[in-house]
Amino acid sequence: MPDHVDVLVIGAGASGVVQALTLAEAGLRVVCLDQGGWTDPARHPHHGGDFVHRRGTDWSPEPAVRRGVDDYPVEGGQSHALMWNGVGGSTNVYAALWPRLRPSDFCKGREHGLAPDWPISYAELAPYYDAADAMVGVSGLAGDPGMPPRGAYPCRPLPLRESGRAIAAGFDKLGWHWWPMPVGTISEPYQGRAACNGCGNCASGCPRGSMAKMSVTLWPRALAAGVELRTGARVERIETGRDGRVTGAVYVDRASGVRVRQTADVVVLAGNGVGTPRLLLLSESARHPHGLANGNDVVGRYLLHHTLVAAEIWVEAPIRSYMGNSGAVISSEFAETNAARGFVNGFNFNATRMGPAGACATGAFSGRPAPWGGGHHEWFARHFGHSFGAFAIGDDLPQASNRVTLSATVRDGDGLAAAEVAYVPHANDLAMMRFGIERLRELGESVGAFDIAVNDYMEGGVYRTPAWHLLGTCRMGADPETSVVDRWHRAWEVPGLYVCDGSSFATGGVVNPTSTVTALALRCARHILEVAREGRVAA
Amino acid sequence: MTEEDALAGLVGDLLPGGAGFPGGCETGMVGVLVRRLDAGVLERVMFAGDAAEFEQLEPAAFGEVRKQAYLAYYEEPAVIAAIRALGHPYNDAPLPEGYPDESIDPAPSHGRGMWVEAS
Repeated sequence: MPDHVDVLVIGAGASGVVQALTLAEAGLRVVCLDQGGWTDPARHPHHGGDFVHRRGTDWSPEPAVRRGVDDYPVEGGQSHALMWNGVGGSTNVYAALWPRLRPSDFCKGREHGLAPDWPISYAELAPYYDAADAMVGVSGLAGDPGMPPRGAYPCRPLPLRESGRAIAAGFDKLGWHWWPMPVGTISEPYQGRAACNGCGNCASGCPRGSMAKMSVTLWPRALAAGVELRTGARVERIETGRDGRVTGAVYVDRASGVRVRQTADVVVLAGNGVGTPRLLLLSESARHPHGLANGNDVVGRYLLHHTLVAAEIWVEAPIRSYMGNSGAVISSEFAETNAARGFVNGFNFNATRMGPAGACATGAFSGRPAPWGGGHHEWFARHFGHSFGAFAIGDDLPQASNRVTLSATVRDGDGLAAAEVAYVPHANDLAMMRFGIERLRELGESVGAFDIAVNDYMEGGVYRTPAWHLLGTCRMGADPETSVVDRWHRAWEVPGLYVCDGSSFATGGVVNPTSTVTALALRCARHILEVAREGRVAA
Repeated sequence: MTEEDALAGLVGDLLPGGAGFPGGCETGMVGVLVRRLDAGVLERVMFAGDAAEFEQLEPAAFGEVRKQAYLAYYEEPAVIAAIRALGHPYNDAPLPEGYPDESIDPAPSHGRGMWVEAS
């Protein structure tokens, strides 16, 4: 059995690395386990002409499509869950859009009562946002009137380019808010990393390390600080002692097939919105017959994906939208609740650049492929490089029936039950999406679009979300009856167990979540350090 | 008839040459398609007839063939050359060149935007 350690971190993604790095740099002995391995930068799709094809095959963000050896099955037909099992986690396939939650996102319970309050406020999290931004390397422009004041970003904003300026002009014409998109991609050299060169293939991670792909950016620093990272280590259960306190975890070393018990004073679970509840449910025992930390039957429930509708908008000007980082402009014009709209909560516009030729022709964004036959080339010549995308990304209401459970029939390669995901949008969410589609059409009109394709993500009459964001399934709260962890990410029912990742979100807000995931992770790690320094046993 | 022959017939319908672009069958894409399409789709292709008939009778399989055909086509060097001839400085792969731009934009001056204080 390996030596006992201070902290065992499960999951080597964005949350796991921030926590492991922070704890190890402070002198704690840290082991991190991940069921996957490293992704060699040379293997990224960016280096070959088949990069669009690979986005839909071996580099798909969806494990059900990718079927990699490190993946576990995710069942259920309503969510195309984005995740990557390996060092860096889903930062291997995300776009690193880096906006923050808004102050009102933390108090939806007080605002309308259809969602809970967070047990912390924006003001409490703001210093951790700043510190995590500096750690990660974030580009943006301070002074956004649509957000609380903040200090300067570590790097200046990425260039708007022709595409961003065209989008901004559309928002200006409508009198709507816009601002350069904050991104976890560096616009200038930062901490030894090369600045973004605008290659445009952000959706497949960034082998250069210009984008915050954590295996290239933070993991080398964590290893230098002394973190022991064990790859190919698939955790099958978290264990507790007779006193109910966490004692460590048992994992399968996938290279040898040997089961290994790693003990620790503290266990931090960071497997994100599907992997985290799955592991807690797998950790059932006589003492915890419904899974660990699940005496209240909340683990896995209240899954949030964000509402999502989108439009591809084509303009006459050749805006060369295949160039540059995917994130161009953000608009929070509709981010706050306005009951006169007929729904609560709101949404942001993420206005993005578009993909390469193959993505244009196949309708990868719009869902509407180019015509075939004699008119194909004229269509392509008119459309390629002339479009931008706009997502309306909204705050979906948490529902107990939207949840992650264990499959009764499907297992992973080590015999562990697969995850099963069920997700149906609330009527409020659907009303917001309909409103968003109307606004997307207005945006198209404002830029003088000659063509627009709206994607409502309906397949056969069923909303099947791309589910890029996996949130809420082990939510934090002030009430042990309705949440899984407290304000410091401590599991209510299991002393010494911390859960900190996207699953901790009480509500999803209207933004991509990784900026908040890293801020929460840093805050959680500093709390663990504070407890350790005071000589207290971590609660 | 081989799978390659059947696919070539479909590709000829889907992507004929014109407007400065080569026909799909003039490139090496058919061989790529044979490798990428799964056996179930290839089996349907063997009985496809022309593209219009295939689209009507086997919409799912047709959709997969069209998607993979478009992807393979736009990887071809001759097609990338045609894209460049349209005036796009388009790279054949994202890296290493990228599309560098170090320009700095003026900050927005619109003054619009609001946020609600936590209640």
